[in-house]
Amino acid sequence: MNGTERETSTAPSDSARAADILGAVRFAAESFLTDQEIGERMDEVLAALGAAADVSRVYVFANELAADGDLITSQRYEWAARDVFPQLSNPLMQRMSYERQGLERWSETLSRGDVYETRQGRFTPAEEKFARPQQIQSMLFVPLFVEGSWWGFMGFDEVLAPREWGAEEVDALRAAGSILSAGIQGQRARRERQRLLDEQRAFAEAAWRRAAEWEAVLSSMVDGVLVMDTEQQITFANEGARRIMGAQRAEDLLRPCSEYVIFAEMLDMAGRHLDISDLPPCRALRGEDVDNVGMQLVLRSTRERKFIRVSSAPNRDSAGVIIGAVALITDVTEAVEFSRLKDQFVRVAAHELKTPVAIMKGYSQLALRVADEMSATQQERLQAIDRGADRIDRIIQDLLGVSQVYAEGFRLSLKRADLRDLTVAAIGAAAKEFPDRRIELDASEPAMANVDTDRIEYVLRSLLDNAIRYSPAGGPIEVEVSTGDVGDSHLQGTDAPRAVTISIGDRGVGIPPSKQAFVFEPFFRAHTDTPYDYGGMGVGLFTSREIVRQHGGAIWFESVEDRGSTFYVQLPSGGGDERGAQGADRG
Amino acid sequence: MSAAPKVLIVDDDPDLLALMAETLDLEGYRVESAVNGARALDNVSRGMPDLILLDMKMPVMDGKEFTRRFREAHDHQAPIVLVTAAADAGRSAAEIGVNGWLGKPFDLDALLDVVAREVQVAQNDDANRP
Repeated sequence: MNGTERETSTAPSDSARAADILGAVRFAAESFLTDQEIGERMDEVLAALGAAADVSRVYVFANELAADGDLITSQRYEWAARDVFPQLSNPLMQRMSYERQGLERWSETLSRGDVYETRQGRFTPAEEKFARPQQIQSMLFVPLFVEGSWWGFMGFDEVLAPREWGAEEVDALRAAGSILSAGIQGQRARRERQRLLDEQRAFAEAAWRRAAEWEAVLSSMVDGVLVMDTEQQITFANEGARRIMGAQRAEDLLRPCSEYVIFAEMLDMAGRHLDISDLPPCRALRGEDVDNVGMQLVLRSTRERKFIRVSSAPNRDSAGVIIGAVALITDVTEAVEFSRLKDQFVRVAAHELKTPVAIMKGYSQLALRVADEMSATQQERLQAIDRGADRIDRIIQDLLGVSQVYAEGFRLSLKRADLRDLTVAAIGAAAKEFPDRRIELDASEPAMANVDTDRIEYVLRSLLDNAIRYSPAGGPIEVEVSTGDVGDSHLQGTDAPRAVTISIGDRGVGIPPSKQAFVFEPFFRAHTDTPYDYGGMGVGLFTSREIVRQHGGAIWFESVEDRGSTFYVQLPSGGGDERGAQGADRG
Repeated sequence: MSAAPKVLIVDDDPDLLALMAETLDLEGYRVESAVNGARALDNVSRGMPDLILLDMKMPVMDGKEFTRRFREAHDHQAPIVLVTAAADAGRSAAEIGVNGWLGKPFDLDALLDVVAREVQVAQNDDANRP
């Protein structure tokens, strides 16, 4: 037997065996220096060490913390001499608990960095229990430390006779432990490096995929997107931007913003030329958030006129410093064109309706004039036709008014007028439609202003109609025309010296507080589906506010539910020519 | 004034034309009518009216073109009052350069008022002419 031969043979000296072990250590060092997985070299290394140290078994145990915090250790690698039973597949060698198996002396000694040595005769009862099934006569453990902490140990078993280790041999085995530790540490570093590399690659791939997704989104979206740097150079333009600007290729747009005039003439909605510094992304560079600004482009290539809406916001770095701007451009040419067609349709329809209404109205009035022997009933019938015609006419005016507001303003035709006269005319028209209602007028002094008389009459008529409709109990409507210093009015800051105020009050149902914020919205009717729903288009106040605004005036109200409402219209008195001219220029 | 003032009504809508003619006739005006600007020019060439009531939108020749040609040929020999269904009647009237305007639909009183006023103004102008 192998062991018997060894026993009888001349034992080599401590130094000679230590030299053999160091030879195996050198081999181990060379093995672990390669990039190969440590596991692939371990069998050879352990075999070399086992042969050099002339032992029955060499093996490596690795520590780990169990879920309950217990320190456990498991056999990972093993070399066994011929005729010696390997233990690697022995389940008892896995997840051994130092504490629970009474092996605390192992962990105490090894964790201090010391070699642990024991043999038959000195075995603790726990060691006895551990060693007997494996026929172990002596054991020597060299601690393995990785990155400063106790990682596990390398063990050397002798199964034939207890082994006495010489000091030089132990030192050589320690050196083997150090090399093994270094190998494990190197492998761990390599794995960490690989993990980082894999992570980096995955990250780069994800970023690339995300970029590709965004590029697909940006290139397939209808809206245009431009990115500008602080030098007003466009650094990104998508397909939508190319289409809107009428460029050949999106790359053509990557140029200073100042050169964009080669693509199109840039105008505001009123058709005025826009300077480069007024363009939304240039404004955003100055820190401004530009929201949905309307612009016109006249393309150089096709002379096509486009209407666009542009939003732009500054790009900031993590410190909040502006590093560029992004602009989102929506082509609204179709919508503007559609709106123009709709406006045209309303105007044509209104025009076509007015002539037959004029015929109805005129003939009912003519019939009333010429019929001497007409009964009261017949006269009332004709008057009803006349009033019906008036109502159709007011609906037409409502439609025209809304259409004009949406077509960006009225064409005011201003002339100097006494607002008392307009108020009297409006009251007269209302009185004709509601002959049984009392309308009281308080207007003592002249109230001159530059106004579009038709428009202001429309405003007054709308307010009177509302006052009458929403005071069904029949209380009087109180109208007052007064003048005052502009400083005391809602028109402060205007250049008119004085203001004319017309108030129209009723003692009716009032406007519920929850609906007061909406009364100037188009098609809003505060009393829809209530007992006070007296019909109407819900556009009178909307259109009126726009008319008053374009006169440089103000409109507001006070209302208490079940007590009534008073609406106020205030217009600049005098000095209104200039403002009027501006108003007339619009649209 | 010996003869009643003569009013030329120009409108392509026969019902409206008849309504205005009957109304003015009842008030004692002499009334002539034309269904478009071209016919109105013919009419004017046979004798100058004291006032022209003019529709804006008409086939063959519209109110704007009529006014231009009338002023070219006859200057301000007769005042023109635009009677129109246009949305911006006042503005249209100012642009074309007519003496007054009336939006459709109108009260007959308003029609008679504007006719009486413009005829009066024209007659005063004539009387003051050296």
